[in-house]
Amino acid sequence: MVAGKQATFVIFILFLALLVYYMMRARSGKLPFIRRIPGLDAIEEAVGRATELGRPVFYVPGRTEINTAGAAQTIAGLEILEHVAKLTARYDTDLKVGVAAANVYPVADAIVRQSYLEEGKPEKVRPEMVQFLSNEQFAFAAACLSIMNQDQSASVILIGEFQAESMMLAEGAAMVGAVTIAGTSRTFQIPFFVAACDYTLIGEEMFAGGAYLSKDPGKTANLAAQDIGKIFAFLYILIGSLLVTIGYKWPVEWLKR
Amino acid sequence: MRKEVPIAIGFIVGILILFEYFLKGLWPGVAPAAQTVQNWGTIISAFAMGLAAANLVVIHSRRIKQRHPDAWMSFLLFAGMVLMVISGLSGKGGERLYKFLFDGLYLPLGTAMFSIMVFFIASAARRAFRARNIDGVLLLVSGLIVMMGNAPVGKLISPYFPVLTDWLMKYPNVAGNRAIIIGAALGMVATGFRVIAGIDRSYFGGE
Amino acid sequence: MRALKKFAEVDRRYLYLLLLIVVIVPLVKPLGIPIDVSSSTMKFVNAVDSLQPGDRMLLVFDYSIGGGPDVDPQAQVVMAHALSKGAKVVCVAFVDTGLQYATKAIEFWEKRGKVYGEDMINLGYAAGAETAVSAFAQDIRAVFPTDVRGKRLDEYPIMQGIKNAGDFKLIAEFATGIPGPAEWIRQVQTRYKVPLACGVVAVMGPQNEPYLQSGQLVGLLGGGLKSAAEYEIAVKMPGAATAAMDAQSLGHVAIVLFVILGNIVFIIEKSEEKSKKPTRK
Repeated sequence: MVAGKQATFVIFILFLALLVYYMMRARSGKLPFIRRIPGLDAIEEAVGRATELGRPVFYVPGRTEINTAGAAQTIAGLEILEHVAKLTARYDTDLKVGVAAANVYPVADAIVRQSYLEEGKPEKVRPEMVQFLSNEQFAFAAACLSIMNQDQSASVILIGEFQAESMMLAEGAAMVGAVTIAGTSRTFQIPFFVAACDYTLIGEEMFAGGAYLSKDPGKTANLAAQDIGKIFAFLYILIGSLLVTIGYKWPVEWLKR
Repeated sequence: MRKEVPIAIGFIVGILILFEYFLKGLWPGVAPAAQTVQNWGTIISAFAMGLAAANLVVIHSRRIKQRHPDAWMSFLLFAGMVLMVISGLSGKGGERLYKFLFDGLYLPLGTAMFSIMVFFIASAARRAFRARNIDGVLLLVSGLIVMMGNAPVGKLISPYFPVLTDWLMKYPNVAGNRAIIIGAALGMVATGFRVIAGIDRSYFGGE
Repeated sequence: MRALKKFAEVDRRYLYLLLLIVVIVPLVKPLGIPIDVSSSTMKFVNAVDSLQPGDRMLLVFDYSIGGGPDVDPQAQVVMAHALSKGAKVVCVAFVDTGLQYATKAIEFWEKRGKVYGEDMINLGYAAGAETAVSAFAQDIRAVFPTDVRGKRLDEYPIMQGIKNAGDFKLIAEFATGIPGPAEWIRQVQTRYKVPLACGVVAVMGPQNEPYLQSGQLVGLLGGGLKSAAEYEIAVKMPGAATAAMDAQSLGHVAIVLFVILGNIVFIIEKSEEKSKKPTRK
């Protein structure tokens, strides 16, 4: 085994075992409890508002490519997009999706098409619905602001990985009077979203989104495994810190192996 | 077959990369195989740019055809695309034009957009950054301290600003970030596992 | 009280104008506010200082146009510092616009007598973000068989003996997003144990602080333009970043004042609402 990765490998295998265990449990009908997430509940309200006003919903699934570490956030954004697209299809509300990453575009486009197909309204899909705007950060932000202004978007949903453009998008949405729901696990964008948006999915609430909205047993089981993983990490840090303080170095040395 | 083949590819590629990362000593052939797969990833990413460009062309051609009030902007977009591509591909001849477009247009426009952000922050500073509850007060006070500590003028106003900023960044900030990094890492492993095992198929465009 | 309420109602464009004036005035007439060098910047300076003449350093231009004004001055001063030490600089980009910044930097130093292919080289840009970084780290020639000028890497003296990322004495990564420090730590620092130092936009600084404390980064320029100014002061090469510090300082003060005034108005409005409530009965 590659030196320096042995501890990581052991932790990885243990965590995989935990994932598999909770998935099997979920399949046998023992679903873990997920608390209410107001930001996700508000999605239906946001689409409803757009329907009443006859104005579009504008959705951004983050700005990150699908083959990076930020992919987990992008996938979370895409999972929630599926739910939003089904709602807009059901209520005949206009939907616009702004994409910044070239390799997210075909996926977002396919999700919207599939969602409209599942709602029995494939004819309502137009190419303008999912637009690749730019992979350049602020050109993308400018294009989003332009869409919000031109369409006077009734609701703006920003879920995925965002960087410095988060403030522009959130404040731009507030300027057109849109209801804003935002979510990211980028720590330093969360305060901007909390301050400027109506609802915010903080960190892992966004990852819970797919499970929460779809009630899919596999995805719900994932959340339970992650929570147990975090408890283990917490205990390791706590006990490890105490042991290192009294002179036992192995908790740190083992992680370096 | 439309879904089985991509799932199989995802599974094989995922296992290969994991194997190479953790256990490459066990099988010498794994490193070149993983390298090849990663090179394919790089090539596919470049192709995705083409697909995205095609989407831009479709949307903006429709705008021009429908005589949209902002159709002139779509013309501008096409002109920009064509000029950049031709000057970029035409070797030494187009190099000067490409540099002019980059330095004279692209760079200042991008920089200007970045600068505009300060106005959004100013607007939000008045409207949204409010101490509504105890959490808001903590966030606001620490935010203001860090802002002052991060500007050279902060030390002139009070020597405590840089000291407090340093403390906030090294302790509460690092502690919070470590927790988030651990949570996000577990989330990534879980998502990766779902994709590799073919349980999560959202990247196909829905179930 | 009335003036404060007016602040809450005033057209936001007046705020923009005020902010613009506050930022432009010190650019025209600098105030000369002293700049202190932080410990994380000093660590970066020391990492570059430890390079010996002939050592090869990888300089990664992973930044976009948007964040360029914050990060480009960092990359420029680090490159100047490394070249002044006699180190050789290999430039590369995994963000498309980064390539142009690398090209500009190379041209700048060519005009000042540095020899392309000996003192420095520009490998080019590779798409694919983290995947491309990983592929590059494993085998540089598999991703870049030639440099941006179309010649095979083996034809350049600077590339002799450089096969993978582990062959560099130091990697300096400058980023505005992804790939950024986390990707380079995962794919390169952990695997090849090569010292990695990073420069990022100010908003990314705090989230990368844990990597500096854990030793995965040997230096961090986490304050955007301010860190560049600190570096310029530390290596006695004052440049664009140092000149812009006064403007940034006053901009920060203005925003802080807006936030404080906005909150005073908020508290007044809240207390007025409370005092009105009983009269409704």
